[in-house]
Amino acid sequence: MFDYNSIIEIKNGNDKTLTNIYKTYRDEFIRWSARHYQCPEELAKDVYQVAIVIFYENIVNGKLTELKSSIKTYLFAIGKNKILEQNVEVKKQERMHENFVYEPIEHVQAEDREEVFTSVEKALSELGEPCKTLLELYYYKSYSIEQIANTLGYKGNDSAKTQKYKCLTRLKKMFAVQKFSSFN
Amino acid sequence: MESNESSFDLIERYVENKLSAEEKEVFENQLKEDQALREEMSSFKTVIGGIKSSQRSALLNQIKEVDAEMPKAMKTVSLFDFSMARKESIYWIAASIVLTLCIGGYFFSNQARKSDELFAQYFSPDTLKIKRLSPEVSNQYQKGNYAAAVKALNQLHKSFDDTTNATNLFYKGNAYLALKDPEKAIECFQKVLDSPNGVYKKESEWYLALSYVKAKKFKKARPILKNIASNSSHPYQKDAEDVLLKM
Repeated sequence: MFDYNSIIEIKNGNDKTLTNIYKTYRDEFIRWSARHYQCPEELAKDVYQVAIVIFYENIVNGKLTELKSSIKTYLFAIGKNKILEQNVEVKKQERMHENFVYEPIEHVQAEDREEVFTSVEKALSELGEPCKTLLELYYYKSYSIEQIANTLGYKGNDSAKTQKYKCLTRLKKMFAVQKFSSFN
Repeated sequence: MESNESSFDLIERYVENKLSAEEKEVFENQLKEDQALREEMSSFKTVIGGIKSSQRSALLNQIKEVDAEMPKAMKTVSLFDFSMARKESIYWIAASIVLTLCIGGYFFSNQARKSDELFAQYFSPDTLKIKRLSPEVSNQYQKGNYAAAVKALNQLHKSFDDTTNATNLFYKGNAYLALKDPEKAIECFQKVLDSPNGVYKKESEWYLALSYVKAKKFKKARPILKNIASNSSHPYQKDAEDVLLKM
């Protein structure tokens, strides 16, 4: 039903394909994890939702380039890793495959992490368009400058690039403001 | 491109691994020297991290919205009452169960094979005293119709004669073993051993041990077999020794 073409569609920005994949295998995943790991329904659902996001990220950031098994198998493997992640001993032994966990968002200190990201998130929402979409497309969906120029209708790559720089600069300023305001 | 933008551009290309080996080395040296550059890099990574994180959350929320519009998954009888157990312990318990089952499963299949092999090698239904049985039972038993023999035995009333009772029990046990029902065989042979008079005691010991082997209850079989093996007048002494070696 879903094959490598679906992956290409997702990479090209087709969200419907991703949601269809989600809908197709959800119930099966819940049953599978209940049977194999005694995982309660609500938790299985959470795990499955995270697995879909990781699956998506692997597609857009280029980690998933070829599919050796089916999409379902790949998805379930991510889910299984997530379930077993809870058990530290198993985690050490199995050496979690790096493609089956969230890509670590680096650099920020662990304690500050939540606060910092929340501040950036707020600043992002206040940034407005087209900046919010532009930054999202480039930094999360891994669009190239060319793709962004096409999607958002810029005259050329340089134009898109400059706009990106301006948006990011504005975001940094707003984030700095957010950061200070959180101390008040 | 103004200098700020070009500086930013350099940082971004470094982070995206788009610099050549030389350019990379130059940049890394610059980083060592230039505090301002380091700070700029740090704030760049923080902001990008924030964008990624917020988009990740946004996607997750979108998925949850899709989920909310789907029909409910299923009525499950959950093995763990979620309200009672902490999340972490559920996964730990689940994972440890999985591991135990894997290990147990492997151990079990080995023991199962051994049990079947030993049983097949050493069991044959006793026929020495079947003439003492009622003709109907004896008939079925000799033909190998063990289920019919058991049925006929079950229909007999308990006799006043202990020997008759012991005979019936002993052969019922044998029939059950032939039918590969060691649990019922164990009951029979145990009763014979518990009965007041002395008939079939040695034989029942041996068959009881075999029943335990078939039932994979090696811990129970062993002491009985050791007892037999140490008894030079026991008809099954040698057999018991052999089985012990192979267990």
